[in-house]
Amino acid sequence: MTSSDLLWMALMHFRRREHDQCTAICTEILRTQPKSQAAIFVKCRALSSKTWIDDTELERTGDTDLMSEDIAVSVMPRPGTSIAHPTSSSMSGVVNQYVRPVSVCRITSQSGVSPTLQNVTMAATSEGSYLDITNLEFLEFAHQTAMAKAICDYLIYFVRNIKQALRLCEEVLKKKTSLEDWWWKCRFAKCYYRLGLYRDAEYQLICSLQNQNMALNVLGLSKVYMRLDQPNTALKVLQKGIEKMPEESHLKIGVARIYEMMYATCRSLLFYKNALVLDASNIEALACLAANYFYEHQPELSLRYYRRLLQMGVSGPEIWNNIGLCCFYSSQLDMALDCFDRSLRFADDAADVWYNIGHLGISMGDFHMAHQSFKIALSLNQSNAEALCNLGVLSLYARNIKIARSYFISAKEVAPTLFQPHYNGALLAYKLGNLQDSFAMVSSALRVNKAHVDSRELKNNLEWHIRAL
Amino acid sequence: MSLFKLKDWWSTTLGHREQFSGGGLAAGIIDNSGKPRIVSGSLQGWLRVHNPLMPNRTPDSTKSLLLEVRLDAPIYQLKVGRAHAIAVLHPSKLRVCTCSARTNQGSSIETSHLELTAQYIHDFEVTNIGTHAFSMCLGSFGGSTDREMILVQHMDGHVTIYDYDVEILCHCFQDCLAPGPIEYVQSADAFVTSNVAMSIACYKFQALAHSTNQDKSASLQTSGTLIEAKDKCVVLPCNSNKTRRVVTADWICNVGELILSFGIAHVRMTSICQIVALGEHTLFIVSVDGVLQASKLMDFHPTSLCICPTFGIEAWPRVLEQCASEMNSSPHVCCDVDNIIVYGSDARVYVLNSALQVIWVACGGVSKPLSISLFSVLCTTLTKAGMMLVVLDDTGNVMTQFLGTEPVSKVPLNKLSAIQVAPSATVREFLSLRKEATSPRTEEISAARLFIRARAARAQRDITKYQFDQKRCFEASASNEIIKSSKIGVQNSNIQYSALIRLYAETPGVSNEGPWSKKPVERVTTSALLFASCSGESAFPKAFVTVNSPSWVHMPKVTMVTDVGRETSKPHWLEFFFYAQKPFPAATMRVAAIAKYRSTESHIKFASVALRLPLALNCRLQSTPQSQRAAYKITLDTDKEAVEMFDLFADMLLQTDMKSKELRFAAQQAISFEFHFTTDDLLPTAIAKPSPKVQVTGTLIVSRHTSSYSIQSTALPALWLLTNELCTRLQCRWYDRGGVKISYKEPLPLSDYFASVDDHHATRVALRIAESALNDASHQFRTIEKRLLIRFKDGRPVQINHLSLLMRQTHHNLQRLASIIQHAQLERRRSASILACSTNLLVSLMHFHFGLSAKKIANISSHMNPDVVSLNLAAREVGLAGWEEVADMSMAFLLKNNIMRRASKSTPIKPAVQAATLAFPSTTDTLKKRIAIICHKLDPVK
Repeated sequence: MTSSDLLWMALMHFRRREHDQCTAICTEILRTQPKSQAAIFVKCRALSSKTWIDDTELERTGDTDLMSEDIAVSVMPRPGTSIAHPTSSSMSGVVNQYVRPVSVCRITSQSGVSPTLQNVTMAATSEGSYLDITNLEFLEFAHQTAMAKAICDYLIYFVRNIKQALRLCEEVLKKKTSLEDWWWKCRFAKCYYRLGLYRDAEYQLICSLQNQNMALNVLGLSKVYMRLDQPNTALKVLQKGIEKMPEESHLKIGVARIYEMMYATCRSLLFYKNALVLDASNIEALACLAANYFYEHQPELSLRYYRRLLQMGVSGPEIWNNIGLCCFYSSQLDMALDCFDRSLRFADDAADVWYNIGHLGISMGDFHMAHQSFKIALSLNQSNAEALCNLGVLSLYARNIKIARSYFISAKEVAPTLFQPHYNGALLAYKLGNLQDSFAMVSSALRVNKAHVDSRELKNNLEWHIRAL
Repeated sequence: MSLFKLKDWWSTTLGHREQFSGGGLAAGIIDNSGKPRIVSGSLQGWLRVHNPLMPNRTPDSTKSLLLEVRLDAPIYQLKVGRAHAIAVLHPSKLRVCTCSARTNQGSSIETSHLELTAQYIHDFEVTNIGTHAFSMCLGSFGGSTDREMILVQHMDGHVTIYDYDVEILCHCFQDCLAPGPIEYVQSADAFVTSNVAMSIACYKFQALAHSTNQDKSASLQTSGTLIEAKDKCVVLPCNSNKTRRVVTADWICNVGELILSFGIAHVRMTSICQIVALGEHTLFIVSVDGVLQASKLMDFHPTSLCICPTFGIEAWPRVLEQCASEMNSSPHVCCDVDNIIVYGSDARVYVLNSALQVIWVACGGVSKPLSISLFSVLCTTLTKAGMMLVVLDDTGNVMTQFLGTEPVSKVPLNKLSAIQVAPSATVREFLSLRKEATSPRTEEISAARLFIRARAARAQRDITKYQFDQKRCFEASASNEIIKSSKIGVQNSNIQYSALIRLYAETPGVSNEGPWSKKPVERVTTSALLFASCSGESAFPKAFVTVNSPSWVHMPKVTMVTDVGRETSKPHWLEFFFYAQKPFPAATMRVAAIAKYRSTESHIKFASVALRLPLALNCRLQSTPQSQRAAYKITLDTDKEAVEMFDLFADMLLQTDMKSKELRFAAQQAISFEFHFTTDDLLPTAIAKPSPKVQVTGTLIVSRHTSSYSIQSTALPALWLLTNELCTRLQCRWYDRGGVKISYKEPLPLSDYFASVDDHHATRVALRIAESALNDASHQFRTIEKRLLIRFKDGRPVQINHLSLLMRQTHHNLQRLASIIQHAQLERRRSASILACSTNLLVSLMHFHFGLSAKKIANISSHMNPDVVSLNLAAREVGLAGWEEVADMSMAFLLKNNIMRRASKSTPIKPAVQAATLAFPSTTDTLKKRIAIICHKLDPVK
């Protein structure tokens, strides 16, 4: 095979997204012809597409993370059974964990967490980079637009050497011909964003948008504004983008996400629905709508959305677990058990599912089954505080006061942020007449959750008692 | 597993562990058989041709494989051109070859194999390593409509254009490190390609053509058009010995992604095509002048793009026609709006509509794990209603797939009748092709359906010896002209019947079977053969075939039970006999046959056929036309030239023993018929004369100059029969040439009509009187009986006092009255059939007189209720809702709603819910007045 054939093969593999084969062939070409521009180009492209990640989505890490789960937990509804009263919110915590099946279905997060500044250098050294970055003559590349673009992507996505990429961008943008090129400004902004220079990134993105209205840039700009904690500006940007590109469902999903973060549930739902009009198979929108209906006490409606997801081929323990919960809340207990069964068959970490089954047992009145399930959940996951708490309540009902107290204590140790064990412990101590401990515990419960009415009542009672003493 | 997925129609595996390039699949018509084939070529050099439309669709790939040949070089790309030639791109040469179909000696229909003939080969000058070919595209560059040229793109970015066996252009695109996909845009006469700077570049063909050397452009000027454009070319010394020119692009659209594939589509309902470019993560829509119009981010890694014309069910026939006309002219069949089909790397298929909405998502239908990447997608327009996607995956599987949860074969079935209206040759070919492909599938799914068909031969004298086989029947129907006149095409969803009557015994035999009379009656009989055949595999063990005949026809056997479908090749036939009941004139000639059967899912289903009884059942031809003694006479005018009576009534002429020459001479101008009923039959028995009976006659006279037909008869019912027969035959005769318009200028014969109404009313009154008398008499009889019984039981009975005599007399009286009623009922039936004929005549004359539309006249006819006899079917006259009552009420309704509304244009009056029952009118004055008013209102002259 001649090198031309080899290059053809490389291009064919690249076209089929068989990046490893493509890279191997390019390496072979480069061994005989180290200066082959085409081979360098194809290899750059192959490597950067292999490690490409969709960075339009907002990363969840960082100090300004607005989507923290614990905030969401606090608005969860409580199931109204008397026995489960102290343990109620732990229930919803499980569901919430599975609310966004994004992590399962979207390709974007296959490569996991987006790289932050710290791990950039590590990545650069770990994979054998064939281009000597430090010796790159940027001026040389700056004149060849095609090569420069390939190398820039290579630097950003594969080597993750943002500083070098930034240098390249600067060099290229010095040229007059590339001043009008939105692509370079977009990459510039990407580099600035990675470096945490949000204002610079914003400026570059606005410039880029002036050159060419691209959905990518709009999404990037909204992300920058979210990082700057200006959700309203981000919304404005997205709305403007929607006006210009009405057929882009991602913009609508973006708006919906921001509204969701701002707790404007109605508007968020509206935009999710709009996105579904454009793309009836959008998994994220369907999952969000389903979760929302679930929390709005309409499990039947929620069930419909989940069923649609199932029909679309989305399968996994999460969805079966959620369907099981929906069935449970719409009083189809037999169905619910079946669904949990399936979920268990798929699940790697089945602790949460077992916990849910235990919950089902409580509401069915089958305390024995509930006890067993919680035990299994605990055996699978030692630090399942909810299960511990519920086990405590169950043993309280079985008159095993000492065991119950120890369960509450260990639950408190495992999850100090959960207020239920505190309250339950306080209640137990109050019943036993141990006012001092009870007061301490109810105070800590109120420290975690100020709005808990029962704790407050208990505390008032305790204060009255203590004052009477 | 997803519910939504592509369904496999046909699939096969190519070779063993062969590798395929992205362009190694093509589909289209490549041989003289005109059927679509799938062509595939591997990197190992194997060229294969498959026929996915094998009749039995066997999974056995050896049957569908038509050609397998190893070429001497790897196959990079395949294209099927307009001239049914295959262009094969090898690394260092371009080969154009044709195929010719060969058939086995045994089967003349099915192509057994193909033969490949190389037409010409272009060898590239491989002096440098970069000069290998990369890809090619076809198109009528330069606006030439008659030919296709081939553009070959090389690895170093230079392109060569070949026109048949001549190389006409050689150019270099600017800034080329690695070649990208290339596509020809017909509407802009330009090439779009993706360059490595992540943008879409467009090169005008004219700019390319202009920058060539003079000697080369001269050759092009003979074929294509050249526009003088400003010189954009820069001469660069290239590493080849020839000088190649680097052409600057017409426009460049910076999309920021490498483009994987291009498509040309009609998006957003504009007449101009747009360029659809599939990037690595985004789908771009770019207009032909380089403006980015829309984009759509993809959640997955797309691999292939395919443009598919929309094939909604409504637009289906249109699409088919377009396919037929454009199939050979352009590679992309352009409809109003195209759908975009995007294949993803994770075996996902997205279908986007014109507004870039996702209208269909499917998992690729590949059950194997995700290692398969689908990359070669072609849209063949040839298979069926829905486009099939031919997919080649990297393991060498070729699949023909379609979208949808329902099999495609259901779609064309429903549309069959719509296309049959005007089938051109190509469409017919398409239909046969499609039938061939769908028929096995149809039987699988809609397993069984029963067809019934009625057919008969021409008049036959010795019917007993006549063996009925299908073939002769076809011959007879082809040669006989009467077919045309008595063919009733009933389009019943998707089955078309043709109904013919086989008539025999035109010389009436004598029979004593007549149920209505003691004396010997001449009997006229006809028979109709009904053919019942079924499609599908299952048999229908019990199919009930019932014939619904008009009241003047007597049928000895109305229902027959038959087993259909045991031997599928031969239709089952049933013979039904019709006897004309002589004294009654015929009001309608239409007979309906219905077959009732149970489908395999044990649903009750029906098949029906309608046929028309022959005129000869009612009358016989007279040897000499008579024009005297005509009491009734009407004249109908037509807008077409006059037709000779001999032509129109050719079948009737066969009945007589006269020689055809004499007949022909006699029947040119006029023709006379003698009906089987007499004038006395039409009169009430009270005034029947004892004189010898005179048969009713009718005469048709044609006037050549005015192209009008005069119909005269001695009785009104006969007039209707003749009018009806004449109009039907005229319509049939002129059916092919736009139909005939018949008009009637004279005033409507209302007085004669009213006479028949009065007659009918009078018979009903007489029947009522007789019934009440019988009622009284039977009451008296019962009373006497009771008294006698009391005396019989009594211990000491009183004298009988001649009660026995009284009882005997009453009994006699009762019997007499009963026979009177029987007689009155017969009278009523007689008058009813006359009234039915007159009503029909009046309605059709109204039709011709006022020139009403068919819909309107059907409306009026339904209100006039011509089927009088069926209304008189109750056992007792009292309590019967007879014709007068019903017609009176419906006339009132018609006047209120339909006719008045047209004048006032107000909102429709809702029919008032009347609690009152229909009462028998003592006189017919109001009814007559209403009919007269309707006739007056319908008059457009007023």
